[in-house]
Amino acid sequence: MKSTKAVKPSFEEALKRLEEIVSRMESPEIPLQEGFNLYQEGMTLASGMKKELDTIEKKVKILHQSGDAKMEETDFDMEEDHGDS
Amino acid sequence: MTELNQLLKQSVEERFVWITVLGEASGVVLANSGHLYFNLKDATASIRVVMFRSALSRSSLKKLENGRQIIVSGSVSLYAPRGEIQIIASEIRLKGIGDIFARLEQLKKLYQEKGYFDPQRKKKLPMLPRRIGVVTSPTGAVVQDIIRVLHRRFPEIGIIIYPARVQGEGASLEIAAGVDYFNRETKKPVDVLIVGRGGGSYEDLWAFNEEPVIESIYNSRIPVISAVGHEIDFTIADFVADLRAATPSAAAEIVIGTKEEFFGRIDRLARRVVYAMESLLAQRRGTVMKALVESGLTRFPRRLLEIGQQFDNVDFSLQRFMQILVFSRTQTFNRLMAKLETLDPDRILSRGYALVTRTDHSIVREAETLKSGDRLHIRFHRGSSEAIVAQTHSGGGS
Repeated sequence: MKSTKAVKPSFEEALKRLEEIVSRMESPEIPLQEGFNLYQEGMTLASGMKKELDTIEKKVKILHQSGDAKMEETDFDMEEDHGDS
Repeated sequence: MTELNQLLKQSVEERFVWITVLGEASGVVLANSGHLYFNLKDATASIRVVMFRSALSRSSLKKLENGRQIIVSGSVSLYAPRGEIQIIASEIRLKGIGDIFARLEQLKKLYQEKGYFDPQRKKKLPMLPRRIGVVTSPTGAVVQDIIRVLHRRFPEIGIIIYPARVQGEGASLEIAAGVDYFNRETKKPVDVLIVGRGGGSYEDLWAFNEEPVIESIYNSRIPVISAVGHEIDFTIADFVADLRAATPSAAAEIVIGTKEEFFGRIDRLARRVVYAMESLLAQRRGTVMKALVESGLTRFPRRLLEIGQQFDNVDFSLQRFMQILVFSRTQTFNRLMAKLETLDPDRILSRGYALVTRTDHSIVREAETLKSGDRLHIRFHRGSSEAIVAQTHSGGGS
């Protein structure tokens, strides 16, 4: 799924497309078949975007210098009190 | 001599026990002994100042350059061997603002001329960042505030913190290293960076005016939000960043919309798509019906009317219709489309019927209303003709 990223539009692109669809569908002279195609596309986009909003991975990490000058992520503890800076 | 100097020393020391004066430092010398010597001067006067090693080590002063405006507190004494009046400084504070402000303006001009603030170069922030990189001090309230605000707005969000000292010697290198790190890290890239710290004096914020920070932000391919100090402060980093937030929590507010806003926006658009589809169908139905009536085609084969009737029902139960669209997709719809097309007056004409109108465009429904010599307009599926009535036969319809 993740490797097909190039095919899948970004959230911004999807939203922009949905906005285009709305304005095209709201124009007075649109043919019925086109309207229906857009309707389908719009509904698919909307549900895809909502799914995307729900699949973002939650995490808070802090980076640490590990031995060989590489950085490592570890969990960042929100409650930890390091004192004032 | 010695006696005179002793008397002078005594009276000066008694008279000026504690003074605080403002001036510009010049001829600054840090002696091998660890004592600091310089002249304090203004436009018309000058006085010798010494700060002994012990006082210097307690002082907040780290470096004194010639030309700095400073505030010196201490006592006044006479240096007997030279008969010289001098201030023995207990504390020296940088006057700061005025001077620092001038340096800041200077830097601002420099980078402006280099094109570092060019609006054309500003990168657009992503609308929905999944991972946000934060370069700031890992301790203290600022980092906690940023995380709290981000989580309030969008509970599922990745936050990666690059810990950096944000003031003092070497701070600008650490901040720059953070920005560079995120730009190098391509395996798990962040979508946007917040670089900042809480409020402080202009000296405290100075790292954000230094070259390493400016260059790293300028060269970042990831969009950078600067979030330094409180609202009135500005740093060069603010100008070179793609967006300046007044405070670190403001940066967190700016960087991502709330989850509710996102859902709301999508829902509103989706609803408009549905409404547009509904009204498209309703409007199309209206057009067809109107055309039928106007064309006098309402008495056309019963089958057509039955189809019209079906369409009518569909129109009344659009809700259900929409469900059908979603679940059974195109097939059902294409059937409906086909039916609609048969309702189209053009389609009816294509089957060999014609539409006859008078010169005033009114439709001819009954032959009786015509007389010989009347001019008529006949519309066919393709093209039309002008005709003149030769003869009329009255009588019932077929």
